[in-house]
Amino acid sequence: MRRRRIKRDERRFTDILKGKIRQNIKKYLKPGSVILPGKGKRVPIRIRFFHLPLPRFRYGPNFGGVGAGRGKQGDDLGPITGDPKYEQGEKKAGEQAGELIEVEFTEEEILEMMELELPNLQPKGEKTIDAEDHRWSSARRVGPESLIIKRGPKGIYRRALQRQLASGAYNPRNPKLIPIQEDKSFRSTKPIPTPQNNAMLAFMRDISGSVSDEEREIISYFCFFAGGLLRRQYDELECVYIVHHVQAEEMRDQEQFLKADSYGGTKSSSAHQLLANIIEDRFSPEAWNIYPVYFSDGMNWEADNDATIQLIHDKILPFSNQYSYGEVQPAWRSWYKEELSEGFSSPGFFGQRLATEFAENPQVVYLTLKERGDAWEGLRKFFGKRKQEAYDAPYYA
Amino acid sequence: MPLITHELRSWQARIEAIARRQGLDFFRIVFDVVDWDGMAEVASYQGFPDHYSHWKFGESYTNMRKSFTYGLSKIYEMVINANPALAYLLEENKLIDQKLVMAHVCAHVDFFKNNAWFEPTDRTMLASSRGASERIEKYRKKYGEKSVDDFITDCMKIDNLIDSRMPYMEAYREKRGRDEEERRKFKKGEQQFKFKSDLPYLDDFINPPDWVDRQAKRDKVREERKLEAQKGLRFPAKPVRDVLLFLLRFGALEEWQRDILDIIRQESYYFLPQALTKIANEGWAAYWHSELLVKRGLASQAEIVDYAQHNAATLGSPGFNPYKLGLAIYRDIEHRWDSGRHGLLWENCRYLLDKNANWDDFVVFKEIYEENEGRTGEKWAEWCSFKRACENGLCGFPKDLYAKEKLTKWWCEYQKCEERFVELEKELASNTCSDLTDEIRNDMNWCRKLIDMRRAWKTGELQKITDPIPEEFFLLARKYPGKVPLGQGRKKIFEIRRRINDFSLINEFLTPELFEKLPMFSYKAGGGGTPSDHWGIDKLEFEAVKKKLLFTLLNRGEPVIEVVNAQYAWSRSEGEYRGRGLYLRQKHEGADLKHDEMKDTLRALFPFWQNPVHLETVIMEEEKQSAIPPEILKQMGVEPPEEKRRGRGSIRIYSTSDGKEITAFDKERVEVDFPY
Repeated sequence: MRRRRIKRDERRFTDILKGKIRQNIKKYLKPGSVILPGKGKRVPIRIRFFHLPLPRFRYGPNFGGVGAGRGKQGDDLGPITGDPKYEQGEKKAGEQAGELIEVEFTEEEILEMMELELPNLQPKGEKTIDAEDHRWSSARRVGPESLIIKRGPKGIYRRALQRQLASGAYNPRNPKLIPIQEDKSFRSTKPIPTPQNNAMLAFMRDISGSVSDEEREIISYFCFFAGGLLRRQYDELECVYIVHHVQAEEMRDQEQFLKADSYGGTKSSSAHQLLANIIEDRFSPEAWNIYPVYFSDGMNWEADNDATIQLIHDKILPFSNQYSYGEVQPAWRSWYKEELSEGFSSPGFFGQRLATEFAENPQVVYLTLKERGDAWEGLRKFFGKRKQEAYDAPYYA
Repeated sequence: MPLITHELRSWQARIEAIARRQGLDFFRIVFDVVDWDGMAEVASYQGFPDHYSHWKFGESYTNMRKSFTYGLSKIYEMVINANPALAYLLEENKLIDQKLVMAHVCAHVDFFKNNAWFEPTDRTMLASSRGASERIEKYRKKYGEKSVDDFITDCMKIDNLIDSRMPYMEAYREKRGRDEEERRKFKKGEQQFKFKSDLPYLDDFINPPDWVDRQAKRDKVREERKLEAQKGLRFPAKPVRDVLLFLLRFGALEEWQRDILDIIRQESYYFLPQALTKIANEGWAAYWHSELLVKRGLASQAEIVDYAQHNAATLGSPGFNPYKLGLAIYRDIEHRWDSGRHGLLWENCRYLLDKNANWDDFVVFKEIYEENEGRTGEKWAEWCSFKRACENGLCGFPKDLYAKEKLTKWWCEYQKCEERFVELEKELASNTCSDLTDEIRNDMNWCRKLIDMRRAWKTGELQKITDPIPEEFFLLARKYPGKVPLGQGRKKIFEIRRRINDFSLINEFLTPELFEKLPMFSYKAGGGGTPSDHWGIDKLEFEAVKKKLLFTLLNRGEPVIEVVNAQYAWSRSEGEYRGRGLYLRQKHEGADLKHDEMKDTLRALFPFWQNPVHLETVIMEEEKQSAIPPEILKQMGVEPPEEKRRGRGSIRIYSTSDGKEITAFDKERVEVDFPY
């Protein structure tokens, strides 16, 4: 009895938390607060945040308190948002763990909350077009006892009645129904073919010297979540990873992709050319929904901009469902002016070009990422659920 | 839930028997064995097995379970003040932990039973709580989960608005009545409160002018209040601190809401004595578990390391630790009353004695001096020899037991050892409890050692040593006549546990000497020149820290909020009329309320009243502190500015008329005293 009561309270509490998180998803889905599990699919995603105690009339920080220990006047005991730390390190660990709450969400809940999807997805692909979805809507002759069908036209007693009536063994004055093995039928699953969507997600990124560590971090973050979350939703989701500086190169997996590092110039056309080649070789547009995602700091070799735009226009957009461009523009970057003299386009220049070229094209989505938290924004902008026509207005317009 | 094992049960019997023999006096204790999960559950319901349910408890359960799994915290004991008392043992714990918890719990229950502050508590709380939880379940079904949950949440937000003096009011009222009567007999004059003085030149001392002013002001306010109440403009004629009771009686509540509010109020009052005696209670329990386990040998030698480790973990946990402070105070009191380090003689002579002189010597000398009417002779020699024998382990005295602080206590026992031995023999003969046999034998062994020593002294086997008696001993003994009883430590702490609460414990027994051993500091936001959004150490001096500590113990460290008027009208300019506003006031004592929380709490108050709610409080102006710490100022040769005892602030009234929006209105500037 008692055990159930606390479980109920706990569930109610988590429900309240989940409601809170849903209401203010941007606040809680902060980087660092989401723990994505590794590869296992069934592991719940945990979101952690500091819980808020019930408000009360209590003394404010100008009252303070008494602590035990040695010290001298004016010793700093930490910010007033937390409890004062008396001894270095020790108290802190215990305190914070007590305050921190992890709420477990199933992947469905997260996806529902994030409302992610691959936009403009069309049924494509021959090979894996039939996904087997099973429904408990069929019956068969053998099976475990627990699945015996009791009621309905295939129910065991109706069958027995039918059999006895047919064989004349039924006596209305003494209605006895004795089912035999043949009367039994068992619930069974029925495969339902559903058309499946093949999707290819192509991540491209700029690893040239102008990309700083912070920018790399934002990009890593984005790729991690985009790949992770979308792959959960779509069974057949191929990811292609391309990095480029002056030359482009395809990476084997996400890890390698995120680690890649280089110095030197930037030619974004190289990556787009490689992508076009890959599409041609391996992903025929008839069979695949193709979603290129390109990250850059916007600093491209100026002469290359036209070539890239041309490539996108001719070789990528016709085959893609959506082209997403994320420009990483950390607010703190101030050194670009010096770089300008070297013939590079200024940060944001590639983005501006893209914006002006494709202002009318709903197939192109772009976004400026300023800090790590924007990765979530980006995810929702690129892959958030939306009405077909309600593409966001171009950022630079 | 697994039952308590046979082994544990026999240990319980043994521990209880020994504790009873030591003078502890407790209700019957029922132990329940639970696993981690169960412990987390029980602890989140504050120990009650049939507590009403609410998601807030689910929260603490989640937290606790997590910190258990990460091994960050460990609940030592959980005991409910009821008759019979209910306590929990953790299934996974080692035997030594269970013994420790059992001894600890015995002391807690002893405290519950005997401490005066626990007298008004409801000892049938377990049953009440079960009834309450059933009723709330019914309401849940009838009025909906959400509305009941929300209402409980609102109640929890204000559950600290009780009057912590209320349960003890009966006695208070009686005494007050007597005083009033007595005063009425004396005075006849315009100012009723003045004390009578026959000598006019002493009048200013008996009735200091500023005190008279303050009293006059207070009387004026009371008079006005009375007038308003007569006109019907003010409803409680006197401010009421028990806001919950007021809302219960006059709030705009449905019957079921009233019931829930009552349940929560009852619980607040039930936990009040525990909040008032945290240090005293935990210190008492810590004192006794160490006493029983170590001194009474309940922990075997193999277990003692584990015991020491766990004990150290409890006492050594950082921060303000009531276990540690309480234990230190009890030990200190015991030592002081064992060795006569208290009272008039101690206060008078401690600074007069030569620095090298031993207080114990002096006290024993004084005792001998008083007993033998001025002669010391043999007895003094006996003390000197006894001291030497204990120090060096002569005559079979176990040298490793030697502790300097215990000398006077042993001296008392030594003098009465023969009688004590006879008593013990009688006790052994009449003893029927097998658990106590060893215990009595141990005591007899100890007694025998003292008897041996005494015999050795008499036969001359123990070498006779006579230390010279300093001249000042005689002088002081003559100057301050009167006996100082020694070896009263145990008796004293039992007396204290009867009457003490945290406030009086700290007030009476936190001495500067003890403070030196247990360094503490006071902190506040921006204290000592730290940035104002950081906690900073404010003061380190004994006086200041003690004042602050006492202030935090007053009213459990909760602000005092009182209902001033329940018929408050915002504006009275258009003739006098009754309002419907509930006007609350924080009795400001130098500490502001926490702003953001205060507003939310005010919002939570609205559903109880359904009419405008106002809260009057004081917002202190920020003190301008010099950026240079006083120590450095001193080094520079500049006298640091004098400590401020008063601060300036302005009265601010927050009001809400719909439970959502809050308006603030500044009234006037006032000066506020800092009591700490």
